Amino acid sequence: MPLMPSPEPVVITSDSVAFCFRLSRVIETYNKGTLPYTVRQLQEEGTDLCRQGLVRSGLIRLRRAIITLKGTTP
Amino acid sequence: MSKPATIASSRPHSGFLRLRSVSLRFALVYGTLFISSAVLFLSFIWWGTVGLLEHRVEQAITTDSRALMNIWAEGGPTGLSMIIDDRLEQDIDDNALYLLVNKDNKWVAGNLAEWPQQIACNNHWFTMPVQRSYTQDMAKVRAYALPDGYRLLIGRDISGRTLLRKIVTDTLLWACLMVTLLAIGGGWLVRRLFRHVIHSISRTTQAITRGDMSRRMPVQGSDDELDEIALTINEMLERISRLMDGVRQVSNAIAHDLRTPITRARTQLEDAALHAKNEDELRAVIEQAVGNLDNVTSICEALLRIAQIESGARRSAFVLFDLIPALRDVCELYEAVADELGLTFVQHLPDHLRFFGDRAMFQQAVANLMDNAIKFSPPNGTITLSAKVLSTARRADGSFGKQLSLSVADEGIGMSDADMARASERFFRAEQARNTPGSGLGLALVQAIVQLHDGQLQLASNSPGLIARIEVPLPDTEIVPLTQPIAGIH
Ligand SMILES: Nc1ncnc2c1ncn2[C@@H]1O[C@H](COP(=O)(O)OP(=O)(O)OP(=O)(O)O)[C@@H](O)[C@H]1O
Ligand SMILES: [Mg+2]
Repeated sequence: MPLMPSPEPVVITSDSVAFCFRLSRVIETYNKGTLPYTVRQLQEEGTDLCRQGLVRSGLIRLRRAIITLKGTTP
Repeated sequence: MSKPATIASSRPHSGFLRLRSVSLRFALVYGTLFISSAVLFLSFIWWGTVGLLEHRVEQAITTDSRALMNIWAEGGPTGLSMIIDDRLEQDIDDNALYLLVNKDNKWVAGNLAEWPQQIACNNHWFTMPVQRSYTQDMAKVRAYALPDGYRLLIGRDISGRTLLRKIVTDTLLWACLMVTLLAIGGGWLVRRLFRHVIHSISRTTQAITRGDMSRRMPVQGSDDELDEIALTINEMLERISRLMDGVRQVSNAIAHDLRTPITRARTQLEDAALHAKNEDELRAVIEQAVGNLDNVTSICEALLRIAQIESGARRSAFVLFDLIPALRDVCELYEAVADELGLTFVQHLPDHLRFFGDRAMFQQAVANLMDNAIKFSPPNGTITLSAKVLSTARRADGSFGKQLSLSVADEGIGMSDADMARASERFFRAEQARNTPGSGLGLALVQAIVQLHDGQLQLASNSPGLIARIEVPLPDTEIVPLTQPIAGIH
């Protein structure tokens, strides 16, 4: 398992507020108007957390909302 | 005997670390064994935790890559991009890393900003740093080449696992340290224990080598193997010193008993040489001296005889014979002496008694007993010689069979128990017997003869007097032919 010779870290783009908004948009465009209560709750909480700078906690809620929405299990 | 100097020089130096010391080797073996088993155990734990986790990550990435390859085959770059987006949207563990680039190295899909230069599509696992919003984590990644110059990178953020791995590794390192300390401590203890045992043995044996025969191994009383060794060694020492005492005493006695008649003869001869007035006087003195020297010769002969008998060489001359006439011959000799001294002589003998052995020697043994009985009897005492057959007696060797019990009893001065125990030693003479003539070899000879016949000599008190009893196994008549001497095998 060769290690990186010059460890120049690569930026993870899914770790940003922009990604939060992208997820939030995905939720909204999924099924317009008729979002279940829990999904909406999770989405609002997630977006709020992202705005406050708690991106990872926000992401967790938004992803959970998406999973619930798509009826998939993790 | 070795000189003390050689003993000292042949001893190894007692430095603290002596590689050739057995105790150190013991301790090393113990330590090595302990550490290697601990290392084995700990590496098993490491493999079972950290190794397993890494394997899981690799497995997950490989499975993922297969699924994505299939998607690519069906939907091309667009289909793959959608699936990657889907995966990232639903990645609840927040540790998935994807990157799809085209042949111009341009971003197509995924959550990595750019293709890391060092990573090639060569079937290798890579570990690389990734920049999150606040932290820098480690990721395990693998790159796959796709048709049309597309490249796909799949990875997992393993910082959580890295933490676990660090904990486990730290724990194992600490455990290794503790185990090493324990091994050293245990080894030291084992070494000390071992040295303690060995040293107590070697101290004792060294003291003995230097001539201190009174030293004994310390016995802890714990009844374990060490005590057993100590007891065995002590027993051995006891026996050796008893034997040495015996040898010393015999040689002292030989020197003393031979010197007395020799000195006497010398003095007589010297005296005669200086003061004898005529030939008759000279002759008389020479005769006396010859008598004394004869005495020396007879002591030497007796000693040689005992030694010869003890060696067992005479057994080849054994024959079957009737013991009673042989005993009567001896009695005849002593009846006259007993009469002269006013002693009563009683015999209780059967008519016939088949016996297997050396006739002359057995007669000698009985004669020695009679001689003692007469010598130590007061006037008017009674001496009894009796022989009887015990039909099924337990013999000395533990078997059962016919046995002769022959005893000579007197009413003389007797012996104390302590003296009885030593009476058959060469040159032993009790304190009360100092004034009677004799050299203390009579009973030793009897003992040797009786033992040659597989029998036993016993002394017991007759109050007053002494009973000397000889017990000898008798032949089973069927087996041994009558009066047929066994051919001597030399
Ligand atoms: N019948 C006995 N009564 C008392 N003491 C005896 C008797 N027989 C032996 N002893 C003791 O045992 C000692 C050893 O006897 P042993 O026959 O070996 O020697 P000894 O008679 O003194 O000399 P030797 O037989 O050589 O002439 C004697 O000196 C005596 O002290
Ligand atoms: Mg005697």
